Amino acid sequence: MSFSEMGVVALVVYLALLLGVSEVASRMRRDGSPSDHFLGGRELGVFVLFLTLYATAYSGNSLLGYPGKAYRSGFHFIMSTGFMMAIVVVFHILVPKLRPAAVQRGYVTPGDWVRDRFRHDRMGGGLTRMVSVLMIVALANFLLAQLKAMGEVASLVTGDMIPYSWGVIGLAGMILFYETRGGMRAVAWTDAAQGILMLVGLMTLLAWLMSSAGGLTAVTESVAATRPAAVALPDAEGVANWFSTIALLGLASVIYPQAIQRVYAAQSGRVLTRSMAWMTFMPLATTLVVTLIGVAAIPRLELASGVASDGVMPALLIEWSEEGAGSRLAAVLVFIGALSAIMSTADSCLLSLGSVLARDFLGKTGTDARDTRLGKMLAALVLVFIIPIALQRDITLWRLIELKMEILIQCVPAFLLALHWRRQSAGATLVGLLVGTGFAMTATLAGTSQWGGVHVGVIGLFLNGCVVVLLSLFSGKADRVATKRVVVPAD
Amino acid sequence: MPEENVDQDRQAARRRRRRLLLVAIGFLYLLSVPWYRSPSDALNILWGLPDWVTVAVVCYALVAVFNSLAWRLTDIDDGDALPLTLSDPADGPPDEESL
Repeated sequence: MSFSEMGVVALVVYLALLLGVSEVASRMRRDGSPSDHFLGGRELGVFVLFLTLYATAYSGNSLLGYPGKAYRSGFHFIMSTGFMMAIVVVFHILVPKLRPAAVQRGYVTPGDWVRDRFRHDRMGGGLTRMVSVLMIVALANFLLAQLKAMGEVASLVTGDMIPYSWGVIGLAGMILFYETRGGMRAVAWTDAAQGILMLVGLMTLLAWLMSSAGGLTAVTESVAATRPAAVALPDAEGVANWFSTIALLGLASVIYPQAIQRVYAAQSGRVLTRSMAWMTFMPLATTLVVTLIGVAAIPRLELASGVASDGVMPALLIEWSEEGAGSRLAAVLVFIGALSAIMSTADSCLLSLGSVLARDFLGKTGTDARDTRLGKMLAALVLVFIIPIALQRDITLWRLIELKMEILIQCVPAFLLALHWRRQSAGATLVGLLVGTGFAMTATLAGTSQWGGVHVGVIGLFLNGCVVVLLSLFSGKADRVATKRVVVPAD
Repeated sequence: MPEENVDQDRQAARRRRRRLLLVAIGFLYLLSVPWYRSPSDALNILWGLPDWVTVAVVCYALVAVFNSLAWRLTDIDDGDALPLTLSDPADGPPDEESL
């Protein structure tokens, strides 16, 4: 059986399994409420929660974008292990305070927190809506990257028997179907299976690469001989970029709506902390592995920069598949693992998009089946708008991630600071958010993504934070002065 | 000593250990980035990788262990008191602890 034929069979079996899981999840539904559909009735246990967190965090960007980035920048991309781990570290600031509030107040979306936190503030509604707009833009961006990656992988694994455009449209339709039928349960269960596939696939590929290259030292020496810059120490700008990337991705990723919704969906606080304790090791098993795969490709592959670099992983798999029937089967399984990682992120994005649009943007915060149906319908509409954009193949996945993060990171004060600082006001947070976003977007549109290695999104967050703190302190002081003025005449 | 006090002491000790682990993680992050090395240093391979990469990998492995321990020391009870930031402003001005 040829590689393409194996690919088609594996794809069909994989999609049939997804349909089966979605059918079981659909029968497990208790009611049609938003909490049941979007959070799986808040009953995810340690194993499923850990794997769904894992499969959602590691996506098409991790499997296609990251090896491409490591291939382009060399060992410097070891920073990716640091920034993926920083996410689980930064969760310490968010989870212990947000989780009890989410359970006791019945939050479904990230905006539910913002609305509740600033409910006595007349600017609270505006802030919730603005946060939701940024989250929708970031989610749509993330979903777009996944759709593009799905099309690429489907085309590669089937030897173009399923063309890129069919892959994008067909797989997007499949996600919409099982997400609509089974909600968070279907998404989390398919994520669990997809996470295992991804992990096994990556380990197998790395083992093959290392053994065929003669071990790690031989790989490093070979990379040094082919491209000395890939093993050189980073300069001052590279160091600044390393710190900046850890800050950008570590802070912005905890604000992912789909990550926050998994915090809400856990069966208990204890289940959540157990899952986090396992999650912290996953960058070593995933990001470090894809970085080494990308670096090991430097002496093996000659690819042009830009879009072609996203093809590092597929090119390696195709090379591997040519070594015999066993390698062919293993390569097909890695491809399916990659596809499942991509789909698991896409389905989570879509599920979150529906709920954020309905509850946070449109303010439909009801608890009955009509609100759930609205969320599903809006998710479908978004997908219809995004698919035509995904059919354009000329944007690299890494740039898409960075753009998304620069926007999303501006929501950090509304969560990480607002959870801990009582004096923070909605008006100050809204102004800070507009200043930070305005700065990051203007700089990006002007063609500047970094200054001295520091991302414009991180600089925007600094400005954002300063504005929030100063305005909150000032407005708090003004309130106290006003109170004194009222009290004095009474004396 | 009453059982309640023993429990409180134990919880305080867990919180202290967790805080120490988080501080150690901060130091490991600082150490993982080779800001203290010169870009012109010659390539030195350690355990199969350029030495600065090995240092970063070891730091991140330790971060994983410390962070896992810190999560195991984190107690989240869904019935815990709500964050002070959610309290009604009519309850009075913010106290020092909440700032």
